[in-house]
Amino acid sequence: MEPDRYLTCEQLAEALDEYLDGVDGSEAGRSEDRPLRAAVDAHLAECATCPALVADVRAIRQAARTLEPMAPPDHVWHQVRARVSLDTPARTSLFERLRGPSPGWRAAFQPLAATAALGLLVGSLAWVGTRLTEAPPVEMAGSGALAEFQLAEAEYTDAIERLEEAAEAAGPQLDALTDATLQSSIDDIDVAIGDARDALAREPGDALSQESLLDALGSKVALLQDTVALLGDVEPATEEQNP
Amino acid sequence: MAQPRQLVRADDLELARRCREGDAAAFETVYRAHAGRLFGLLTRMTGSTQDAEDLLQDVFVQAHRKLAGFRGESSLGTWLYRLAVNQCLDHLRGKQSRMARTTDSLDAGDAPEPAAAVPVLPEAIARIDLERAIAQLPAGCRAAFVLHDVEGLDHREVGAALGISEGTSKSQVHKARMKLRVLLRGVPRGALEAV
Repeated sequence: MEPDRYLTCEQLAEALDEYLDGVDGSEAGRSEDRPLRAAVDAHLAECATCPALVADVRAIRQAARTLEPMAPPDHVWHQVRARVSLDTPARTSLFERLRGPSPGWRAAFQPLAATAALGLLVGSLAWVGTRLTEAPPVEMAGSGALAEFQLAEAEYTDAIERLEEAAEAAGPQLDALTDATLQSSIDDIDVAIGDARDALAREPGDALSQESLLDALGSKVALLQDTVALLGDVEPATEEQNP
Repeated sequence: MAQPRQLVRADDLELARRCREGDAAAFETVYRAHAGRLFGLLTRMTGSTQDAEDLLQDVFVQAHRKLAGFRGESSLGTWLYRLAVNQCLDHLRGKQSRMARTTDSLDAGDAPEPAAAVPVLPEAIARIDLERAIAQLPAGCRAAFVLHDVEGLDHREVGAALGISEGTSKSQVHKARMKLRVLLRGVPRGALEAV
């Protein structure tokens, strides 16, 4: 049977998906595809190059459909969880979670032990904020990048130590559930920090690992600041306990 | 056996409700169920596992914020998929905009398509070879190719997702395939079915 129309090579390329869907796809054999199929087949019978094109496109299409999901590295989930915990809208839900089944969540917190402890926390926050603001921007490319990275890492590490000291000093004011939840988030971030440090032990100059480490350290600073802010936000329990 | 669709939606709505209420285990369930597909999509669309990791984080953080708006009109998987595609396209547009300052076009300087009288590719292409080749495609045609040939969207849907016409989607996918022909050429046949 003579085809109703003849195709140029360009027209064939344009019609290729429709043609292959008709040959290979779920709609194979539809009667409305027959004129197109006849026209493509007629072209392929005479063209020197298009049969090879069709065979290759067919192979690519078939291979593309076999591509499978890819498992993301574990640290991505740890970072998602840490970010969700720190997220502003989610922070409410974090606090809500900390509240537990009891409606009087503030009553679950014991009063701050001493004004001196608060002073330490606030002082640490101010100090960390100043230090981080003053820290030079990290430039990953070019000479001296490793030194700048090490400087930034040292700043973060120093800030974390100060905040941990402050949080530890105030630790007894947190109930067990609060403490466990925050510790779980910190553990997740520590895993990410450990992964990045392992990668840097293998390749000290790897910019992506450096960036990952600084991101994780930054997340830890933010979480510790959050912890300190949470402590500062706790009102004396006596107000809640005596409505 | 596959669950009926309405039961899947009910499960999704229940998961979303638990996530909104701060149930960390429910959120992890959502992540574990969908992260693999989305990470594959993002890796192939961006051509970079590092970018894909960052975007996957962003997608799930956004999802956590927006779950209040999930009404079950589509499955949770479809809802997350759209979120991931949009997040990825924003990323690619930003990247393209930055690169445009130094180059005329992401796809500029295309070599003419090679004409070949015999197929240059084996019938079965190894997945790992195809993954590597996709990563080397220019961003514009890579996105169209991934959405069409890998994800199975039709050209109308690809055009809508990328903000291009159906005809442009066809030409971008064609361009991607022609580049893949070149990139995949010469892969030894013995290694092809290995993966």
